[in-house]
Amino acid sequence: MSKIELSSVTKRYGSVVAANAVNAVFEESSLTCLLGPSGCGKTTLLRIIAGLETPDDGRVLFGGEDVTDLSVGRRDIGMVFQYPVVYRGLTVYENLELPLLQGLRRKLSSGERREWIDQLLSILNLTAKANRVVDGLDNESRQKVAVGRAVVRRPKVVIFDEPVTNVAVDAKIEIQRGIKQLSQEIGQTILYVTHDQTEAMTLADKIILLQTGNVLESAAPVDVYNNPESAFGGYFLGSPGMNFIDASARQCGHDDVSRVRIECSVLSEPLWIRAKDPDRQIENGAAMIGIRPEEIRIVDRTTPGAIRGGVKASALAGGGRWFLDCVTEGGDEFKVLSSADYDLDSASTEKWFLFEKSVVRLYAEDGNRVAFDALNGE
Amino acid sequence: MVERKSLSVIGVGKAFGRDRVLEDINVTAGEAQLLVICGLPSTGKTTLARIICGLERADAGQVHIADQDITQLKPANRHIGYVPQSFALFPNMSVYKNIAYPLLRAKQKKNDTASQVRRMAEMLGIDSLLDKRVDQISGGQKQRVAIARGLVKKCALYVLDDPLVGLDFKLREQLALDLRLLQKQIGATFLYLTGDPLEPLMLGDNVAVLADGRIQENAPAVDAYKSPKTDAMARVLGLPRANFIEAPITDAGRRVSSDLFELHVGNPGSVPSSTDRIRLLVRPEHVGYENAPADAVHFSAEVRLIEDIGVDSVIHLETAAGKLVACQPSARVRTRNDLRGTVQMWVRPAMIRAYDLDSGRILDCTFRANEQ
Repeated sequence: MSKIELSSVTKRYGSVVAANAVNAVFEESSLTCLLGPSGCGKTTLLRIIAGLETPDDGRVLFGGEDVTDLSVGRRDIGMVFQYPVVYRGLTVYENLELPLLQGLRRKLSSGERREWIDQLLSILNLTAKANRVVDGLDNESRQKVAVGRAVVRRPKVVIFDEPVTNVAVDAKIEIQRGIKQLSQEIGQTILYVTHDQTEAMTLADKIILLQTGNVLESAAPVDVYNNPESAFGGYFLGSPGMNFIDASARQCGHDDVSRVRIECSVLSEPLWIRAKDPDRQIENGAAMIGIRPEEIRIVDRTTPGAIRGGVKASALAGGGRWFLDCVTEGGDEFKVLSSADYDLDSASTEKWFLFEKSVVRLYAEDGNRVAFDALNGE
Repeated sequence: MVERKSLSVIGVGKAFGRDRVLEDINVTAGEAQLLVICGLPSTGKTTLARIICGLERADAGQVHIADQDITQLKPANRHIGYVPQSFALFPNMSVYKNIAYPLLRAKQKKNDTASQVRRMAEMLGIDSLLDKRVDQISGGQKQRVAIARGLVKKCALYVLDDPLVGLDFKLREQLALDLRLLQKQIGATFLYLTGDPLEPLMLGDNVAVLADGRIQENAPAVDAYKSPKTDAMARVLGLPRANFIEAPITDAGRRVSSDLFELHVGNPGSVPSSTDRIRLLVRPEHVGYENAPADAVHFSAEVRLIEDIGVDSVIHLETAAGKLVACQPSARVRTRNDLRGTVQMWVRPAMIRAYDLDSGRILDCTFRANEQ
C-alpha cells in the first residue's frame, strides 16, 4: 500500500501550463477523485503519477519514496481506461487469472487463486459470466473484466481514467459500486479521473478539483459540496451548481475594521459579519454570496423576508424535484430546486423566495471563500 | 423564424436480417414542438433517426413532413438538419468550414454564412476555435462542432440523435438548457432521441417512449413523469430509476398483498377480474425513512449502500421484494448515522401506481393503507 504525494509538480506544453506547482496527497487505502472539466490538467497529473510523463519541476512520492525518475513498469500500478482492455479469445475467468500466472511475484496456490478470483467476480457481478469468452460480451461487461484485470495482481496503486464514459447509465452505477466495494475490501490507493461531479460525489473519499492546472479544492466530497473554497468549486459540484449573486461589502467602524456590512438584492436586510480568518478579509467593494439551489425556499408572498423572482423556465429534475430558472427584479439570476413534494403551478411566472441568512456563504470578488461569523445587526 | 411544419412517422418497420428492430412506429411531432423520444440502449433510436433523415430505408411505412410524403426522397431533398450520434467531421478542415459546410453546399451568400456560423459557434462556446483544424481539438469540442453543423442550416425539422452523450457533465447541463432556448428561438420542429433519464424532462414539450419496436406512449413531459400511462415510460424517465414491485391482487380485486406491504384498493372494480397479479410503480422519492404520514404503509429493509450525489442521497435497500431504491434530501440523510443495518421505511399508498403485467398499461386504481 502506498500514499502518493505530489510536491510542486509543474508541467508545461509550450505556453500551456497543464500543472501549476501542484501539491496533492492521495491517501493510501482510499479513493481519490481527480475532478475537473476537459483541459483542466487531470489527465496530465494522472500520466505523471503513472510515469508516462515526466514533470518539468517537482517530485512524485510513493509511500515517501521518490519515484519521479522511476519507469512505468517499476511503479506497480494497475490502469483502467475509457475503452476496455481485455485479452480476446479468453474467458472472463481466464482474463482475471492470466495476470496472476505471469510476472515475478510470489505465486498464489491454485486454491488461493481460485478463491480470490471468485471473490472478484462476485464483487463485479460477473460470476454468471465467468466461463464466457470476452469477445461475445457487451461493452459494459468487458469494462468490468478490465477493472478486474487491473486489480487482480493487487498493485499498490490503481488508476481509473474515466472508466464509465462509454457505458450506459445503469451499468455505470453497477461498475461504480463494484469499484467502491473493491477499494474498501482490497485497500489499494485508487485514483479516479472524471469530469462527472455526481460520480466524484458518490465514489470519492476525497475530491481534488482542478481548473487550468491549479488545485482549487481538496477535501471530502460533502465538505467540498457544502463549503467550497472557490466559486468554481461551488459551481462545478451540484446540478445545477451553486448560485453566486453579486453583493457589495463595506467595512464599518474605524477601530474595528473586521466588521463588514454585506448587501445583496436577494437578502431582505444587510448581513453583518466578521471574517474568521484575519488573512482572508473582505475588501470594500464587490463580493458574492453563494447559495445552493435546494437551499432557496419557495414561500408565500407574505413570508417575512421573501423576495420576488420571475420564473424564466421550469422543468422536472432528478428525484422528483422541480428546477426553476429565475431572475430578480434587479436582473440577478438564480436557479432553484424545489423539494420533491412541491407542486408547481406552471401558469404563474412569478414566485416568492426566501434566502435565509443563516445558509449563505460569502466569496470575495476573486472567487475565494471568506469564512465569517454572523453578527446580530450593527 | 422558419416555416412551421409537423413530422409524422406512420407504420414504419425495419429489420436487419432476422433482427426486427422497429415493429410498427407511429408518432407525430407537432409544428415547432420539441419531441423527445427516449428508450433504453439498443431499442432502435438511431435506426429511426436515420430512416427519418433518409439514410436508411424502411421495410414498411411512411415519413411525412407537414402533408408531404418524403419516404422516397433523397436525404439532401428532405431539408432536415441532422446531428448524428457518431459525428463524421472533416479532420483536415477548419472548425469554421466544418460548421459552414451545409451552407456552402446550399450555395448561401458568404456574409450570411459567416454570421450564422458565428452565432451558432458562440452558442455552443466554440467561437474561439473557428480557425483551428478539427484534428487539433478535443473530443468534447468536436461534438459541439457536430451539433453546430447540424443546426446551422435553416430547416423546418431537426433530428438530434443523443447529441450530448459523452460530453463534459457541466457542459451537458448548460447545453440542454441552451438547446431548449434555441429551439424556441428558431421555431422549428425538433426530434430529439436519447437514452438519458433526465434530459427528456429538461428539454421536451412532449416525451415519447420507444420500446419493443413501438412508440408505447407520447405525452407532455410533466404527465409522462408524474402519471406515466405505461410502465415503459416509467422505466425510462427519472433518476434514480423507478422501483417496480410485482404483487398478487386478491379478495375480488380489493387487496394487493406484496412481499413488502398490504394495500387496499380504494375503487374496487377498477382492476379486471381476470387479473391476478399487477406491477406496482414506486418512485424513489416516495420512499421515506422518517416523519411517516398517518396514511403510510411500512416495511423493513436492509441498507446496502448510501450514495450522496449532492442535493439528494440515494439509499439502496435490500427488501423482501428484492432491491429497492429510496431518494431523500442529503441535508437530512447526512445527519442520520443510524441509517444502516435494518431500518423501517414507508411509502404513501396514494403515490403508488399500478400496471397490467401483460400490456404494461396503467390500471385505473387507487390505493390506501386500511380497509374503510
